[in-house]
Amino acid sequence: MIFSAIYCEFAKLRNSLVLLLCIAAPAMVAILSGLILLDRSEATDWYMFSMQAAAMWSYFMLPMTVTALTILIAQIDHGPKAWNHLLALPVPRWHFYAAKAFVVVSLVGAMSAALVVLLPAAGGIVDLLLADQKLKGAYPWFGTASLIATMFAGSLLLTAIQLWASLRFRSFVPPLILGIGGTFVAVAATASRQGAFFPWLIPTNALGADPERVATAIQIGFYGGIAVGIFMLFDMGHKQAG
Amino acid sequence: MNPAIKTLGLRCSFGKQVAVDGIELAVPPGSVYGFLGPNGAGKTTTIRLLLGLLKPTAGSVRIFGLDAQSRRAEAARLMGALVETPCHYDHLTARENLAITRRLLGAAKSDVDRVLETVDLAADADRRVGGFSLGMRQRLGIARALIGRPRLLLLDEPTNGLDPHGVLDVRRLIASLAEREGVTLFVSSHVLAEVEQTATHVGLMHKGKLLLQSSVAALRSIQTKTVRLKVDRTDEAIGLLGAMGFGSARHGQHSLQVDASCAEGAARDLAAINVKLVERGIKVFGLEVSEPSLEDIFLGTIAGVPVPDRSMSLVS
Repeated sequence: MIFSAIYCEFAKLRNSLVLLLCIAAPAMVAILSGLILLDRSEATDWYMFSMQAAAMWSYFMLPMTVTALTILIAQIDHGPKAWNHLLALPVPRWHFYAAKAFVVVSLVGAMSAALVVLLPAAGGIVDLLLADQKLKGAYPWFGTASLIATMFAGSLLLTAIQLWASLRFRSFVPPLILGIGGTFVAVAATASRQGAFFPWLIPTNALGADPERVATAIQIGFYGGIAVGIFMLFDMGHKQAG
Repeated sequence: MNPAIKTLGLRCSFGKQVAVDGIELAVPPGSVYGFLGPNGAGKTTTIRLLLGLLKPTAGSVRIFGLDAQSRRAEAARLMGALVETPCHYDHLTARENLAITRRLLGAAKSDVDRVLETVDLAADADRRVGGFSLGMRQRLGIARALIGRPRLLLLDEPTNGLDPHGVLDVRRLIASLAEREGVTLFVSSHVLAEVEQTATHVGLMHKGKLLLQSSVAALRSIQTKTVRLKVDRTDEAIGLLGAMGFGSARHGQHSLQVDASCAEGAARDLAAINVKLVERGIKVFGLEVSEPSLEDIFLGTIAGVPVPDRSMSLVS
């Protein structure tokens, strides 16, 4: 039955803005990285190029995209008050919320994978446009993929918090404020030691030089996300509809 | 046979505000139950309680004998519902909307086409719902409630906001569902005259309480009918009616009012009175059977005042 709920969640995305967002977010990071490269006077290497792109992704685009994505996914049912219908069906309530969580995490994963693929495309286009090759060496597929995957794993906590807020409130304003506020504080608190524990900054810790801090931050993000997700299922499963 | 819906002391409060106050609903299977009451009477809250969307503060709900809380999934499988405004995914087609519910219920694929036919939306099945009129949305909502062949359909204000044509469509649909599909219908409305057309049973909610519950036939049978006559020689007619055993009273210069016990009796009395008056050479300008409408009965029940008469037919 949970598979039916997941299937239906994906079916609801047809003709919606969610898929556009999922394509636009990684594409924007890749395009912006390409434009920055275009503007550089000196050459660089693929490793630095992908690190810069990953930093842009984790600092700003990932938390903002997760905010927008969770709001859009929740509003698909909040908007037309579809919960009145869904929660009256003979389906365990937590199935609906677990299905939403699965879809959100899948889409964030898909966006992360898309970024890994789009970055060499963007860098390659810039190199084609310019007479001098700006990117030295080969694109570090494994290094970039593992870095973005680490960020993805660390983003589970912020994803769970944003999804919970988006489902809990019928209005999109509270989760939007939470997402903007979290991202803003994350940018301001980058240098802070406590940054390793701040959900909106956890993915950025993957860029850190201290392996112990990286491991701590990512574990907090990953396991914290699972724990918050379970609490969300329990809370939403017992909440009265409407 | 178990009642389609049976509630015992059902109560729901939000803080100090009591929305539903210990109601005892009994909805017979196969009936069209009109759940009436003004806005804010507690109708939608009751429907939410029946569907398990809200937890009762006290009391219980049984759907065809199943406890709606402890056996929620089984009870929910017997019900289809349209709660408040129709809630559809505007970016999807009618068929896609229905396919979501079908998939969640594990119903047969052919169910989607069946319910589209039932509500006369087959021709618009592949149009996006965003372009649908309110009447079409309402019918789509009923179609969705019919997926999985529920035995009980709960429709919350199904004609709300519809134009007269849409009201007529939904009214016909409700009548046909009861007849063709054998579904028990529980229809809430604040428009009493609307339910009067289709209901076999009625319940009246007011300020969270169920003031009245009855079959429409029983309700009508206990109401006194009156015959009103328009004649040229009033005093002579009063004397003649007195000799026939009818009590009558003057009601204006050329009008008399005669009490009759029930509809059949009133019709029989009417014929006999007419014959006698004509035989005596008294000119009869009009004969009229008056009985109170449901609205009159309910307004009277709410206000605690005697039920006024209203004309049902006029012969002249």
